[in-house]
Order: sequence, then structure tokens, then C-alpha cells
Amino acid sequence: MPLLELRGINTHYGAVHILKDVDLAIFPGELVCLLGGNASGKSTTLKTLLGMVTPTTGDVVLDGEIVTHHSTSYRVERGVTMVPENRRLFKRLSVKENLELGAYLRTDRDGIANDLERVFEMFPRVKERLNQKSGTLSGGEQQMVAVGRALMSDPRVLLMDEPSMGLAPALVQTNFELIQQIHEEGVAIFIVEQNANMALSIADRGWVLQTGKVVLDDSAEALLANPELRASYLGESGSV
Amino acid sequence: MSGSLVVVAKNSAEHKKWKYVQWAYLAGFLLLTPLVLQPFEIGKMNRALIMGVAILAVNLVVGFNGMLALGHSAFMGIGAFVTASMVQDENWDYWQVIPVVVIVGFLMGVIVGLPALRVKGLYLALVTIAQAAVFPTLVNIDELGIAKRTGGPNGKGVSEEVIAPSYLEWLPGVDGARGGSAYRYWIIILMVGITMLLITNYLRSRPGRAVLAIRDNEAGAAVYGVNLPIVKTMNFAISAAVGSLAGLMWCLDKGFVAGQDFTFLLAVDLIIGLVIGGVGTLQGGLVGGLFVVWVNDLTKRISVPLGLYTLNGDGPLAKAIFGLILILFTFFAPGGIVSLGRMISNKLIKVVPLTPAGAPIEPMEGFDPGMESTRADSAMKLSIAGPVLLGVGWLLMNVNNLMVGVLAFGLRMTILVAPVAMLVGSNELKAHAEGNRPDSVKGPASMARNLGALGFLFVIGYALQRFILTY
Amino acid sequence: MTTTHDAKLTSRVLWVDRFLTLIRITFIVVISVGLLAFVAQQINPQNPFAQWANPDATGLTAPQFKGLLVTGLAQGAMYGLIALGYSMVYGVLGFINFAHGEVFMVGAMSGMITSNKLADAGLWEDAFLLCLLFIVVTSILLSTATAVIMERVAYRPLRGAPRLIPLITSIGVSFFLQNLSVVLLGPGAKSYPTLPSWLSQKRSLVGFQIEGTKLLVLLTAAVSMAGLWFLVERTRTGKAMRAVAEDKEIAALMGIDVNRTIVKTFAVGGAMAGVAGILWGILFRSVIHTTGFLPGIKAFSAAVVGGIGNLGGAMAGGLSLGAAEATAPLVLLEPLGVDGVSQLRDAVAFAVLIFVLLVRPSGLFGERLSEDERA
Repeated sequence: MPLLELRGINTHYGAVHILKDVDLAIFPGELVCLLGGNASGKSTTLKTLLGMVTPTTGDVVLDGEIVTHHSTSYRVERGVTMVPENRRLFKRLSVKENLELGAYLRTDRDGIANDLERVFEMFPRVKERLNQKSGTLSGGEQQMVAVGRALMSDPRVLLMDEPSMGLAPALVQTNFELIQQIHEEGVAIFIVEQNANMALSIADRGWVLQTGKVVLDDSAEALLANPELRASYLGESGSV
Repeated sequence: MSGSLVVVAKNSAEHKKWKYVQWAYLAGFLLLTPLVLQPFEIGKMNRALIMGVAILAVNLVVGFNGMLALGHSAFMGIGAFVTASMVQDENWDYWQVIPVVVIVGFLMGVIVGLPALRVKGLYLALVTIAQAAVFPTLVNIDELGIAKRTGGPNGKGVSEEVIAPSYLEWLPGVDGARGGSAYRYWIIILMVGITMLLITNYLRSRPGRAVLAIRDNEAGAAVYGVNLPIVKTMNFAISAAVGSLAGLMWCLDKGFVAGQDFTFLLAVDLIIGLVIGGVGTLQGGLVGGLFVVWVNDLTKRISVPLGLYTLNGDGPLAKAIFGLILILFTFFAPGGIVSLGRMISNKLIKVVPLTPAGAPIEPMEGFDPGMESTRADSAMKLSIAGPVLLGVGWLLMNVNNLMVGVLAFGLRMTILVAPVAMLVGSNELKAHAEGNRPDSVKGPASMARNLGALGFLFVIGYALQRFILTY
Repeated sequence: MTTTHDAKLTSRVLWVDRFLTLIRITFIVVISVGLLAFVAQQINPQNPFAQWANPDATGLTAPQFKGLLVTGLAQGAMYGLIALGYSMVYGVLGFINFAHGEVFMVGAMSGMITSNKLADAGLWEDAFLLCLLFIVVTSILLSTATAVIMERVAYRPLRGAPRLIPLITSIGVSFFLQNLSVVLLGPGAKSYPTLPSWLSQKRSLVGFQIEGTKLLVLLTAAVSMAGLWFLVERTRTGKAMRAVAEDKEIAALMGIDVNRTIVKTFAVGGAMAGVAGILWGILFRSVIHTTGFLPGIKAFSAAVVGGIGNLGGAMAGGLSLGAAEATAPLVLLEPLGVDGVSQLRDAVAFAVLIFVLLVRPSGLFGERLSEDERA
């Protein structure tokens, strides 16, 4: 059974039809990616998964339960979370407070303490900076805190919005290694990216979104080999 | 075809005809006011017009530049006190004071506006509210000769009343009992007209467009080279100057100025009038002024029998109701009365632009026969409604003296709709003669034309009668 | 072409800057000359500065100055408490809740009613501290309820509307509440019962002679502030409030109920205004429906002076504004030969605001705004 699923989603902003019959399914422990250019409907897809946008028709299914009209916090409590684009830390709060806010809905003190240790193990740098205001961290450190904050909610599926955006090329590489590391611990990961090459190199499967429609749905190898995709996303010349 | 009674192409002969009708109405309304109303009612009208100018000033900042200004009561006060002092102490004429008041108001605007507008539009609200709060106490201060100029807590009167010189006595209403207030009414109307004209031109000018651009997209305006603090401050200063001018008119009309007339309550009245009249519209100020003055008066009269009348002259119930009205308007009609009025007038007449080829974008005639007959029908109904109400009112008045209201309503209704019904009816008949309408249109259309013409004649007769009676 | 245009632009900027510098210099000159004259007066009471316009002027004595300072601080503490509500709401929603002064008025009115009832029952003099606790609690409940209802009815439906709209609505709310109070309680000023004599006695404290009431005001304000600080900095709710103030979308992503947190923000601000209302009643013993107006705008000025959105700043801004308006007329203006200075209190308070806007636009302690507010 899929962990998180979109079934026949249609979304409108006023008169504008953003998502058209989108179907997606993320299975437990998978690493999948959604590719698409600007204004293809990627962020609306994410917002729909998280309940920040309510679709006109269609259902969002979490663990077999229809959660289309449930709040974001309901879904976060049940194991969905996101690392937002550009990290968006609470810059005036300390690193520690940012991590604690990640576990805002949890009440199991021991579990929280364990997860905090896990984050420190993964990012020793974060532990050093614990009482610093997060706005004063470097870009790479902020990325660590953002991922750590998401992990603090003990997610079963982690949505990542443009993880390579705004990072130096060297950091992009480390970042994707990090994603794989989290994935190895059994967390399903859903990456939304423009950087198709990098995303497909680590993903199992992928979808391609174009003007609100899923136009391709295949394994990562097949997508990498797809000539159309290569032409439009990987910068190779060819027929579109 | 949007259900409008009449659709005309922009700048066509038809459109011009409607424009003349509108202007004729305005002229008729302005002309009849001093003739028909009692002197104290003319006084109220004057106050409404003055409030209208002040609201227009606030609108320059709030409606056209998107920033909240709450201190125009103080600018009005400054204008009024400068006028009172110059006229009373220095024996200047009112018209000589005008440039002084405008310059003083402008400078005060720069001084108050610049520190706040340099930082953030929202701080303007704070600074101006503070200004409105301290102004009434500042004018009482016994320092720098302020209290001597302003009369301190006792206020300052202008001993000479404004009355018409002999060569202006031909103005409607300027004679006998209502002479003074009617004459002031004409002066105020002239000033209102000139102010509106100047502001319209200002908003069309280069700086005016920059002001509008800032309201619509501040960052975008800055990218196109609009110097935000300067344009905002200049606009605020112009608005302050207009507010001071309203203060001059206040002094001219009332002949007495006191600090407690220019408290924060006046500033709130200005905001209420603005929201209810229509934020960001030129007419909104005048409509709002009428609303504030008349409704204030009305609710005050309601409050007296309820025992809710306070000594300072404002019924608290009235003010509580004002607060509620303000909230309701921001929720349900953020465009104010003017936008509601536009909606209604769009139902009556719709002006459509022409394509470059000269044909109107929307088809004018022979498009939907069913719709056309509805048009004639509604015109007919309109033409009937006014006179019927008039008749009912007349009957009721003879039976029971209390029903004068119905008569008055019928009269107003007739005044408003008779010419519309007449023009629509004759239009439809013309279209029928040209073969563009089914026969079913003919009956209602001719009825609308004839009844409308009758109503129109009646109105003209009524106006003439009033005119003759008064002279 | 471009160069001439640029030149024109630069010259215009210079013009504005010169003008602003001129205002700044005027301010600083007035302040420093006033201070110098004050010092001169302290050395020689027959100060030529002061006697230039007013031959009878004599300097303030040290006890007078201390008295003024304490009065100013007590009043400033109340400004600070009210300012917290303005500042928190501005930090979270980015608009001035003009009706917050009326929440304060509601608190003062509720205290007036309950304290008079208690006095009628003969409890007020006998068990003053218990009664005080009781009226503070009821006033907090009532003003919190007012603030919460206000948010729910008037502001929440307008979330996302252009920023001018809730501002105008808040004026309507303020107007409505003020006049509703007249309709319900009548127009005149109403008084608090007489305070027990042990409270109004003067006590000496580190060289200051402080009236018991003012001491009580300062203490209560300090306790409330400490409580607020603990709530905001040390609890889960406080963390949620700070998160919502910074970035509502991400706060929601953390599972925080943003609407509820905003309600809590209004509630906390309302509670602080309720406490301030009681303190006002105890200090001045008289309330009227317009009581909320001037303290309200001064409190908002205090919030701006301290740096809007910054809670410590709001309190510090309140204290400094209160102290400035109490002492500045007599310390700075009287030595300059200005008479009737006591009438200038309010004008001085707003002059402080303008001065801060001119020299430190983001407030003395820096502003804290949400992501979409910083534009």
C-alpha cells in the first residue's frame, strides 16, 4: 500500500486550472522525484500533499486514510513533513529552538531526545552551533538545520522542495549524499527538483510535470534515457 | 448584453446627450439647493461640502497613495485658525488668505510627513494620529503668542459676517433670510469646483501618476525611478494644503473657530466619510461629506429621546452606530457608496468603447429582441413609478399630514427617472421605426416616452414655481 | 540624457537630506541647550537662560526631579504594558490595532466596577491585596475576551485583505467600543474607591521618596513583564508565537495552528492591557470612555520608539517615553524660558517619537518583523 498518494487531483486558483488529473504514489522507504520547470505546478503539488492548498476534486491519501480536508498539522503528526525551498529557518530563533519546533507536535520526550542525538550524529556542526541564532549560520549549516528540523518530527515521508536551489555546487553534491543517507534509514523521500540530472541519479522512480499534467511516469533509468526529457531538462539538443 | 437599459458607444452623439443630462442634473441640484432648503439646512449643506473637501484631501493620501492619514483634523484646524487670525486681527480679505493657508498647510504637511514617510507608510498613521491628538491642546498654549492668535480655550470669532455684495445679489437664494448662508454656499461651491478640477489635473499629471503607481505597486514604482519618499511626502503635503483650505472654508462658513472643533473625532469622521463615500474616487469625498453630516445629525436626533445625548454634542449611540457602519462597509462594500452608485448607473446606461474601426465593441442594436423589449418595459415601469408615488404621496398628505415623506420620495424619484425614461422610450421608438425592434416594444416604449416627458415637464414646472415663489 | 537625469535625482535627494539634517540638528540643539541650561540652573538658580523670558524661573530641586522621574516611570510602565499588545500584534499580523487602547479602557472600566462593588461590600479597605488580585483577574479576563472577540469578528475575516482595510476596521472597532461604553455606563468620569492609607504613604527607597501606589504600579508591571517574558521565551506556546511572528507558512508546516496562535497573541496582549488598565485606575482613580485614546497612541509610539515587534523594546520604549514626557518639559524646556510647560506633556511625547523616527527609524532596540512585513 502506498504511504502517500494523490488520486486524480485537480486544483484551481480562481479561474486558473493548475493541476490537471495528477496521480502520484509514494511507497514506504522509496526515493522518488518530481521534475518540472517553472510554473509546471510543482509547488502546488507539494502544497496539496501538505494540505496548504485544497484541491477542487480528487483525494490525498495518507496511509490508506483520505486526508484531503485535514489540516497540515494532522498530516505532520502522521509522518509527512517538508524541507522548504531556500530552507526558511526561523532566523531569529536559536538552532535549538528551530529543532524543537520541528518536534512541536510530539509529546514523547525520550523519542525527541533520541532524534536530537541522531541529528547531532548526522551533523556534528549543528551541535556546535546549538545556541546560536540560526540567521547567523552559513548556507550549508542552515541546510543541515533545515533537514534536522524536518527529521525531528520523525517523518515517514520527507518532501524536499528544490534542495539544490541556492547552494554552491560543492554543497549540492553533499546535500544529495545526505538525502541518500536519510533514505537509508528507511524514510521515504520525495524530491521536487529542476535539477533533473542530480535528482534522477539517486532516485528510484520519477514523474515529469508539465503545465499541471504528469507527462512521464517511469523508473529513474528510463527517464534518464528518455530523449525528450534529455532535450528539455538535461540541456541536450534534440527534438522536443 | 449585461441587462443595461441603454448601451451607448463612447463619444458618440448618444453618449454626449447622456453627459448633458448628467451635467444638467448636477446644475439643477446645485441651483435648487439654496432655493429649496431652509437656512439651517443650507448651513448643513455647506458643512457637508467642507467635509467633502477635507475628505477629498484625506483621499489623496489614503485612496490614491495607499497610506493611512488620520490627522487632517489638525490641518483643517491650522487653516481655520490662520484664516480667523488674518481676517480678524489683520483685516485681510478671505481670498487674500487663501495663498497663505495653502502654503502654511503645505509646509506643515512636509514637516509632519517627511520623518514618517521616509521610513514606512504605516508610521504615517501613527504620526498623524498623534498630531490630531495634540492639536487641540497646542492651540491653547500660552507661548509664542499662540493663544493670543487662536483665542485660546475660548476660541476665536470673526466679527464680520460674510454677506453678498450688491452686485452678486442675483445669485439664486441670496436674499432675505437665507441670504448669508446661501451666499456662503455659492462661494464654497466655487471653491469646491476649483479644488476638484485642480486635483483631477494633479492626478493626471506626472507626479500624480507616480502617486498612483506607488499605491498599486510600491516596489515596481521604485524600479521605474519614482523617488518614493519625495513623491509620498509631496502628495501628503498637497493633501495637507487641501485640508487647510477646507479649514479656511470652515472659518468662512462658521465665523468661529475653536480648538475643540478639531479633535480626533473630526479626523475619524473624515475617515468614516471617506470609506462610506468611496476610497480612491473623486466623488467619494462629497458623498461621504453629505453622509457624515446628515447621518450625524439624524442619529443625534434619535439619541435625544433615548436619553443618550452627551453635553459635547455627540450622541454616543450615533458614534457607536458610526463605528458599526464603518466596519460593515469595509467588509461588504469596500468601494463605498460611489461604487454602489456606479453599479446602479451601469444598469441604466452603459458606455462601451469603440473599436479602432469605429464600431462599438458590444453590439448595440438588434441583438436580442427579448432583451430589447425588457429594456422598454423597465423604462416604462420606471416612468410610472415616480408619478404614482407622487400621486400616492399627494393623496396621503391630504388624508393624513404625516405622509409628506412619500410625496417627497415620489418627487425625487420623478426627478431622477423621468428624463431617463423619456430618452429610453424615444430611442426604442426610433429603433422600432427603423425595423430593429419587434412590435411588442412599441406600447411600453411610447408609454415610457410620454410619461417620462410629462414627469420631466412636471419637474421643470415645480422648479419654476419654487423659483418664482422665492423671488 | 541619463547623466542629467541622475544629477537631478541626486540633487533632489540632497535637498531632502539637508532638510532632515536641519530638523535633526534643531532637535539636538534644543535638547543640548536645554540640558546645559538645566545644569547651569543647578549650579546657579539665578540662571540667565531661564530668566531671559521668565524672571521667576528657578531650577528644579533634586527631590522634585526624582519625584517627576518616578511619576514618569510609573506612567511609562503602563505605556509599556499596553505597548506589548501593539507590538505583538504588529509583529504577527503587520497592522496597527488601533482598538487596543480600547481594550485597555475596558480593563480600567471593569476594575472600576468590581472595585466599587468590593468597596460597597466593605472588603476594599480590609483585604486590599486580595481585592486587588481579584480585580486584576477579572479585568484580565474581560479585556482578554474583548481582544479575542475583536480578532475573531473584525480582523480574521480580513486576513489577506489589503493592509489599509484592517486598519480602517480597527478605527471602527475602537470607535464602537468607546461609545458602547458610554451607552452602557453613561458618559461622565467614574472613580475608583479611595485607596487604603498605608498604600499611598511615601516610602524611601535607594534615595528616592516613592509613593506606595507608584511602587505598586512599578512592581506589578515588572511582574507582568517577567511573566510575559517567561511565556514567550520559555514555553512551547511562546516558541509557537515567535515562529508565527517570523514565518506563518513554515510555522504551519511545523504543525502549529497559526490561527490559534494569533488568537493567543491577541489574548496575551489583551491581558497585559487589562493589567495596565487596573494600574491606571489605581494611580489616577478616574476613568472615562476616552481613557484609552491618549495612552493608546502613546503606547504605540512607545512600541515604535523601542523597535516594533520587539517585546523588551516595547517595555523600554514605554519607560523612556513616560520618563521623557514627565521630565523633559521641566528639565529641557523650562530652563529655555518656555512657560506653561505642563501643557506640553503630550506634545513632548510625540516629539520623542518624531525624533526617534528621524535618528533611528528602526527603534532604539531594533524591530522584529515577519518575512512578508520586511519588504
